Formats: sequence, C-alpha cells, structure tokens
Amino acid sequence: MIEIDDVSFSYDRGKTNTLKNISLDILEKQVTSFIGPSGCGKSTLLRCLNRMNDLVDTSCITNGEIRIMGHDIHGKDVDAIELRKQVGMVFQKYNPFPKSIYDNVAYGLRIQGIKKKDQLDQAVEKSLRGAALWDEVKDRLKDSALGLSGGQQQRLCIARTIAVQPRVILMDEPCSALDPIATAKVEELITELRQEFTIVIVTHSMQQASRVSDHTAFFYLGELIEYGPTDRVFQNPEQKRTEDYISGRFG
Amino acid sequence: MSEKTMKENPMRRKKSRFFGLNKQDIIKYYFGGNAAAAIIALVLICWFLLSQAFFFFPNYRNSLQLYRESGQEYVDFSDDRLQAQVKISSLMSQVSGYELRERIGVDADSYAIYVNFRGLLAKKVKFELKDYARAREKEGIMEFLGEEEQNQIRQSIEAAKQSLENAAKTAAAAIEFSDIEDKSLQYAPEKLEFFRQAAVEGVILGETPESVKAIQAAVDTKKQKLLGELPVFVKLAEAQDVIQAPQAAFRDFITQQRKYALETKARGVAFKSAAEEKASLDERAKSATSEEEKKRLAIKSVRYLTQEPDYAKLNAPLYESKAQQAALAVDLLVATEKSVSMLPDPSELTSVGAKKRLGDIKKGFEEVEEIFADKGNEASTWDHTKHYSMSEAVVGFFFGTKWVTNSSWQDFYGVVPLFLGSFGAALVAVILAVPFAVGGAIYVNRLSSPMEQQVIKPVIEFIQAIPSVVLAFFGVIVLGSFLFKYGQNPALAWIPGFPIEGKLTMLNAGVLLALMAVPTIFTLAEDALNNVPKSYQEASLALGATKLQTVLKVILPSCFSGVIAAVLLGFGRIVGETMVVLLVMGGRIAIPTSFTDPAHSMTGILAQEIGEVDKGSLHWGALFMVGLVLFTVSLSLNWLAQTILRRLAKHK
Repeated sequence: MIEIDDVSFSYDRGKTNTLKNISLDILEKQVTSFIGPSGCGKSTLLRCLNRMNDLVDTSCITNGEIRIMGHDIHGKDVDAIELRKQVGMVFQKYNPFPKSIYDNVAYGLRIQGIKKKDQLDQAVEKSLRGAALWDEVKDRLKDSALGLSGGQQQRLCIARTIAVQPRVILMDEPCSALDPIATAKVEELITELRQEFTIVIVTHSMQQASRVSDHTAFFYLGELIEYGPTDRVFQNPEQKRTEDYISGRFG
Repeated sequence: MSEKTMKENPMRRKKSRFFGLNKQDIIKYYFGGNAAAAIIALVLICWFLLSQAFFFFPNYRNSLQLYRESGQEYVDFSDDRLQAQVKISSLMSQVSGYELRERIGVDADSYAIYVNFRGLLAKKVKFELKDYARAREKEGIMEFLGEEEQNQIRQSIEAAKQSLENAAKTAAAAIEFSDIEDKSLQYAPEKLEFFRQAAVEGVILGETPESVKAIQAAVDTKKQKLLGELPVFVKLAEAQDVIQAPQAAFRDFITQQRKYALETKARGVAFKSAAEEKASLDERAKSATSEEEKKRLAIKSVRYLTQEPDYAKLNAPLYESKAQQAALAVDLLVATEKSVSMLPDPSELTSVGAKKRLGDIKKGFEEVEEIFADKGNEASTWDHTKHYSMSEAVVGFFFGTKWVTNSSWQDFYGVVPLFLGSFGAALVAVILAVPFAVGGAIYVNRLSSPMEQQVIKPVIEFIQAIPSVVLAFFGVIVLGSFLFKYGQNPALAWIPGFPIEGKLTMLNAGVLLALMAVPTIFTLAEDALNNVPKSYQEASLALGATKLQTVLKVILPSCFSGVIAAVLLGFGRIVGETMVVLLVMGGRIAIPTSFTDPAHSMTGILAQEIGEVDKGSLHWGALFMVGLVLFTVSLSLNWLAQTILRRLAKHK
C-alpha cells in the first residue's frame, strides 16, 4: 500500500538529515505502529506520508521516494491537497474546530463542495457511528464541539477524518493527551477501523503498540532499526537496541 | 550559638531610610503613584467636562425662551419658508446657467482660460515685465529732452519690449492646459496655440487682446440669441419671473418684522443682564460686613432698572400681521407651484448638470410644500408666552440641525451636522480601511513568506508615524485635486454623490482617515489571527483544504470577534482625529446629503472655536457639550471593543 523507498529527509535544506535512508512497506488494511525514543524521526516520517512537512518552508526529501498505491507522492502530477484527501491525519492533541459537532464532521465534505443536506446528514451519521461516537452525541449535534470531553473530542477528530473517506489514516500519538479510559475506547476504535482503512500510528506507549498494531517499526536517531510483525518484534527482537528500548533500558 | 550571642545581629534592618521608607517602598509607591495619577487624570477630565457643560442646558433654554418671547421665532417661521422657496428659484437659474454653458460650448470659458494663461505667463516673465515697465516710465519726460536722448529712450524701450516678447514666447510655449489650476474649465486641445498667442499679446499690451475680445463678444451675442429665442430658455426665464415675482414683497415684510423682533430682543437682553447684575449686588450686600458697605451696594443696586419689558405690547405688531403673513405665504406657494409646472421637460435639456438640478427642483418642491404647511401652521398658532421646556432645549441640542454661532440674530447649537460629519467621514474610512487592513493581516499572517512579512509589517506600521497634519496637507494639495479630477468621470456617475463637486469633501477626509486606521486595524487583526491555535490550520489542511479555504472557513471565523474589536478600535481612533477633518473636510456646517459633500466635525469645531470664545458663555458651554458627546462616543467604542476582547479571552 505504502512503499517507503530509501527515504532521507531534512528540515534545513539538506544540511542535516533527520531521516536517513529509510525503507519499509506498509500493508493495506493493517495497523502499523512506529515506536522509538523522542526525536527519533517517527513523527517526521508520518508527516512525510501526507506531505504535512510542506508547511515548513526549508524542509525537503533529500533522497528516495514514497509511493502510495504505486504513485510517487512528490510526483509532478500529484497535488498535496488531493493527496491529503486520500491520506487523513489525527493529531496528538485533539483539535476540533470551534464549530458545532455536525459542522466539524461535515467540514471535509463541505470544502469539497458537497452542499446537499441529506448527503451531509448521512455522511455525518456514518462517520460518527464509525468513530463510535454517534450514540453519545446524536442529540446535540448542533452543540459546540469544544464542550465534549477530551476522549470524545479525539474520537470526533477521527470521525472528521474518516468522513472524507481516505484510504490511509495517520495517527500521531492519538492517546497521549487522554486518560486511560478514553485511551481504551480509542484503541478499541482503531481495531475496528482497520477493517476499512490502512492505519499508521505513532506511539510512545509500548503496550499500546503491542495491543493495537499488526506491524511495528522501531526507529532510533533517524534510522529504521527494526521492522516486522508486532509479536516478533516484541518477543524476539533481532537487534540489541530494540530489545533495550522495549525492555525500558533507555528511551 | 547558645553559649555566645553574636555581637552584631545579622538580621537587623538596614538603616538607610528616607522618611521612614526604604528603597523598595519608594520604588513601589512611585509606580503606584503613577497608576493613581492616570486614574485621577481621567476622573478630573470627566469632572472638568461635566462641570463646564452642566450649565449649558439651562442657559440654552433661557436663550431659546428669549428667542420666542422677542418674536424672533415667529419671524423665522416666515423666513424659513422664504429660504426654501428661494432655494428652488436659485436651482432654476442654475439649470439655465448649466444649459447655457453646454449650448455655447468650450468658447464660453475662453475669457476665464485667457485670464488664467496670462496670469501664469506674467508670473514667469515678471523680471522682463518689470524692465519693460521701467523703460516706459521715461516716455513721460520725453518731450522735455533732446532728439538724441529721445532716440536713446526709444531704443531702450524697444529693446526691453523685444526681450519681453522673446521671453514670453518661450515661456508660453511651455504652458499647458493642465497647468491651469481651475480644473472645472473645459478645454479644447486644438485651441492651445491660440491661448498661448493671446497670453503673450496680453502680457505685452497690458490689456485683453482683440482676438479674445472678439470671442467674448461672439459668446455674448450667442448667449443673448439663445436666451431670447430658444424655447427652453424662454420657458426657464418665464418660470423664473413667476417664481421671483412675489419674493420681494415677502422679503420686505420679513425685514420689517425683523426690526421689531431685534428691538424686543435688545430690551430682553438688557433686562436680563441688569437683573443678573442686581442679583449679584444684592448677594454681596447680604454678606457684606460693614453697615457702610451694605448701604453703598444697596444704592448701587437700586440704580439698575429691573422692569421686565412688556413683551405683549412689543409683540403687538407681529400678532397684527398674522393674516398678512399668511396671505403673502399663499402668494409665494402658488407662484412656486405655477412656476414649477412651467419648467421645460428634461428631454429638452442637453446638460447633465442641468438635468440633475431639474430633478432636484421636482424633489425640492415637495419639501417646500411640507415646510409651508408646517411653518404656516406654527406661525398662525405662535404665542410668545408659551414656556420653552428644558426637554425642548435638550432635544434642540442633540437633534438640532443648525449650528449657528456669533450671530446677530440668534445662536443655535444643534450637534447633528457635526456628529454626522464626524461619523460619516469615519464610516467612509472604516469601509475603505477594513478590506485593506484585514486582507493585509490575513496575507501577512497566513499566506506570505517570512521575507514578505519582514517588509510588509513594518511598512504598514510605519504609516502610523506620519503626523496627521502632514497627511492633511497631502489631502488638501494632492488627494483633493486627484479625487476631484477623476470624480468627474461620467463612468462613475451611477454612484450616489458623484460627480464630485469640490476638492474638500468627506470622501477626501475619509480616504486619509482610512490610511490612519489601517495600521491600528491591521496590527490588532494580525494579533487576533496569531492567537488562533496552529492546530486548527493543521487539522484543516490535513482534511484536504486549501490554504484559502482554511483561512476563510476556519481561521477567520474563530477570530472573528477579535477582528471586530480591531475594527471598533480603529473606528474609535479616527472618530477622535482632528487635524485631517479640520483641514480636509471643507468646514461646511450643514447636514451632508452624500459622502462627497463637504462637512464639519465635532473635533474640528472644538479645535476651531474653543480658542476664541468667551469663557462661561453659552457658546463655551455648547463646545463642552460637544466635547462630552465626543468623549462618550470614543469611550463607548473602546468599552465595546474591550468587552469583546475580554469575552474572547475568557472563551479561550
């Protein structure tokens, strides 16, 4: 689904590489988690996948290419806007717009020019159900999204993302700002969503990675150290550094 | 420690004190004192304004009461009707003038253009002109001189003339039509050479050359012919005769009545000031300590006559004239109606200006009918004994449409024209400034590169550093002429208020004020945009929105109240601006009918009049009331903006 082929990436016009020659394939309709200590480049790689790094003027891919569904995402015929419709993103800190719950979910569709009320209604309901939020908010769709609890707001952000029907969902530490109960709900949701979407999740929590993901990639100082099925990586790491990190000896 | 107490206590208070205060205390009280001074200053200003303005309303009421008692009010009921009617008749002569100008064509302005050209040329060759004049001074004494000397003088005159002619020819060649200051003069490019020639001739001869005289004569003949023969002008002339016929009788009638009213008023004023003087003497006598002093003051007090004038008797001629007044008014109205019905059809006119004024007459006539009905009614029921209430005086100030000062007749202090001037110019400014400032803020904050940011922000903020008097100069000299020139363009005629009829207008002031409001609105709006969390932008972009969609649908809505507050503060900033409105707005005290009219402002009138008014007079009080209104407007705008900003902060 996503092929990352010998990618190096720099935030400062190629002076120093934040990511160094990374190659890995992400499989369709599977959950892949990126783990590693802070500053190892996992979030950077995630942001490369939907070109959110374009917002930083001095950033650039210095080597290799990223292919999604076989197409180079930096190709001349690829528009970042269209790419992001295919590759959605959920952020570390839940960030619903200061609008109503309904408007939040409908936002992605409205900017694509969909105006018909029944079409929007349907999509909103489907997305909220998909994010396991419908039953909690169906009576107050017109209320401000900022009035929801933290966990609900994060699930709303997920609903907002799936409303535009992307192929891939990128999640950047989606539970780091949530309490354990809300975290459990979101994790449950991730397992549900893998039936429909390809999911890439960056997490600091080893337990979370082992609970939700099918594949795990371990990064250290901008390099990919180890990549494989989650069970194997956690139980039989091939690399010494992976084992040290997983067992909590550093990081 | 227990064995040996330290000789010196290390925790002892340091001694260096000043009036029992140490350094920290002094610094603390210094800052506290500064804060207190700001609050005290605000309270003092409020108290000062209020105390000076407090006596305005009772005094204004008294003044208006006398205006009624003296019969001036009654006379004005007649005068208002006459003025309304005269306005119609002057519009008629304007129709005629505009149409005549249009029919005659460019030549109509020939003489004016020639005068302008010659003036310009004379300035350029002033030294040669002086030399020539000096040379010719000797002509007078020539007959007393010998042949040779006469020849010498002739030669020197000839040489001076020659050099003047050469200089004038060179200078004239450089003069263009666009050098003529009065841009309302229309010109035909093919005539340029003619005017240059005529100007040279005129300068040398010292009188109007024959060629110009000939054109002038031709224009006069044409004018006479048009006026005498063309049906439009005949109709217009007839209509004018009809409307003007009864004016003289009414005017004479009013003049006569004015005399009565002014005499009554003079007596009223004398009585009032005498009464005041007497009262103050009595007061002093009461509190005097010595018997002798009391006696002296009492004698002085008795000298003041305090017999109130017999207003009923004095006003008798006015009451007697009520029937005559009504009859004269009917004559006037009937004549107006007849005259308006005699006017030519708009299709007979060729000039745009004339057509516009013809339309104004039709509209104006309805107003005239209303004024005649209202004022006629008031005049017939007028009673000088009717009490002038305090509320009427208050309404007269806040809703009065006349601001008349230092009048020999009656002063009126109605704030409406000033308020509308101030508010209108500020509104024009805000309407112009908001798109620029908010658009600029959005661009700089969200769309530009860091390089552009570094240039644009300081430049916009630099505008604030321009002194307002310099801006006003620019408005008077450059912008006024520019707007006036391009405001004539017929393509703009569909906008209400266009074509612009003067250089100093509310529009001109509004444009300059907009320039002053842009930095304020820009800076505050940019702050508001900056306060929008970055995560909103990320979330929106990650959903596949473009930058523009993100700005318009997420970022702007979430800082909308901040932008509104910025606009309000910008508005407050320019409502209080003085220099620009004083110099650029034209200073006409009348209710503006469109945003291209000249107007006066609250700030302008204060700056202009406060210096030359008697302290404690009615006029003085009125100016303080205007100051109070201005203060209230600015304060409430600021308060509103602060409230919005505070609510915004709480919301976050």
